[in-house]
Amino acid sequence: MDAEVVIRAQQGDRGAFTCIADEILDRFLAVAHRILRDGALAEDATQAALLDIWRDLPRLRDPERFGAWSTRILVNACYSEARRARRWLPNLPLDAAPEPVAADDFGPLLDRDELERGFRAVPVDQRTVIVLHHYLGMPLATVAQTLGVPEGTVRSRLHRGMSIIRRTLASSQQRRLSAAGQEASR
Amino acid sequence: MTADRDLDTQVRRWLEEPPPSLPDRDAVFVRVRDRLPDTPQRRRRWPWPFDGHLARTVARRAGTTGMTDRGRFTHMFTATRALIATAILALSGGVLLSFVSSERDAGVPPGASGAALDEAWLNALNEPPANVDDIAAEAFTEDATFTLVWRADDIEVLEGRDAIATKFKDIMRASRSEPLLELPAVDGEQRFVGVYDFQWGASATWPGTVCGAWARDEQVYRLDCLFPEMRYDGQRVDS
Repeated sequence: MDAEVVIRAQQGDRGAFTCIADEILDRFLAVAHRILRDGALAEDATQAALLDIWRDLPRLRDPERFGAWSTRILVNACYSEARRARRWLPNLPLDAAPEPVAADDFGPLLDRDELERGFRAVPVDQRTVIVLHHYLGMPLATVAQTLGVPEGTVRSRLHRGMSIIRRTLASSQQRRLSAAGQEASR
Repeated sequence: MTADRDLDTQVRRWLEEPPPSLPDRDAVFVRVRDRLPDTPQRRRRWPWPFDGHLARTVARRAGTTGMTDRGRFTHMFTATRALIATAILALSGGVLLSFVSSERDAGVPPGASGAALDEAWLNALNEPPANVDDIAAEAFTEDATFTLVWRADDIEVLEGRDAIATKFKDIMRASRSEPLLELPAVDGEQRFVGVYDFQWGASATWPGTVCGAWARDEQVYRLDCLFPEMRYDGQRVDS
């Protein structure tokens, strides 16, 4: 992001901000959609984030830090949308924690729906770390800097999030196996 | 380990796939562009001791404690009290920031003060406030997006007013000398909240509780002080 454009937007230049919004919009929508797993929520979060950025831009002291700063605002907007959605949408019960399974019990290719289901079972703050790290390719130190939390916290969120996905996948695989077993015994 | 790596790869591939229903980019862009003219930018308010919100808050709080000739002080003292309160709060906020700066090596901006503080003074800050619940209710609105991160033995994210109020209460009644909460501010600055008892001068008849939030750059994010209404006999009006 061109620091000069950021400075102009900080000074209230709406045209400059429109250029910034145009440049970051796709990335924001992509990240928000992956965190929230819902197109409408991603749109709302992105819109709220962009308006927050415009509102608070004069307070950004170092225009060079615009990228990390704006990503953090987007993440906060995603948290807000997730909370709002949780309030209005039915809270679907998650599966009971499955028994641990052997590490190599996963098939080589996981079903997309199962991954989706596993990912949805992960709390939003852990999903965020997964998306920033695995989708945007940010090193964990950068994720920590972006979110404003210690690197250890990021590591534990990533670990916990991936564990939930793993458990959910294992659980559905066990269910599938037992269904297949029952079918065969008939 | 192999399974972990496999899962990482699978998740990465899955995240890279375009979602089945794409958000409407143009609609978002148009909505944001159309709302810009009605969305004012927040500018730095400086110098902060003369910040309008602070002055209004202090004046409002001081005003509610003004006593009338029917048993309360008149508002004659309000302006003076507001000024003194502002000065004390400014000093306290600055010292708290210095304390935090000295506690944290990482992320301390150049020029931040790391002066050690008087132990007794810090202990005085840890006295449990009389009405923490009120302070928390007063300092944080119903805004469900408000989140606090408490850093002590572990990181704890507190969402919503109730959680924050409970934490306030617990922390302030604890004996540890760390009366601060850190706020993850959207603009990336570090912000802190402190709540502590407050006595008006040498007299114990005007105690109050102060809740303040400060940013690393001394920008006041939120500052509230409660002065319970007092009668001449030193009893709270509401007691």
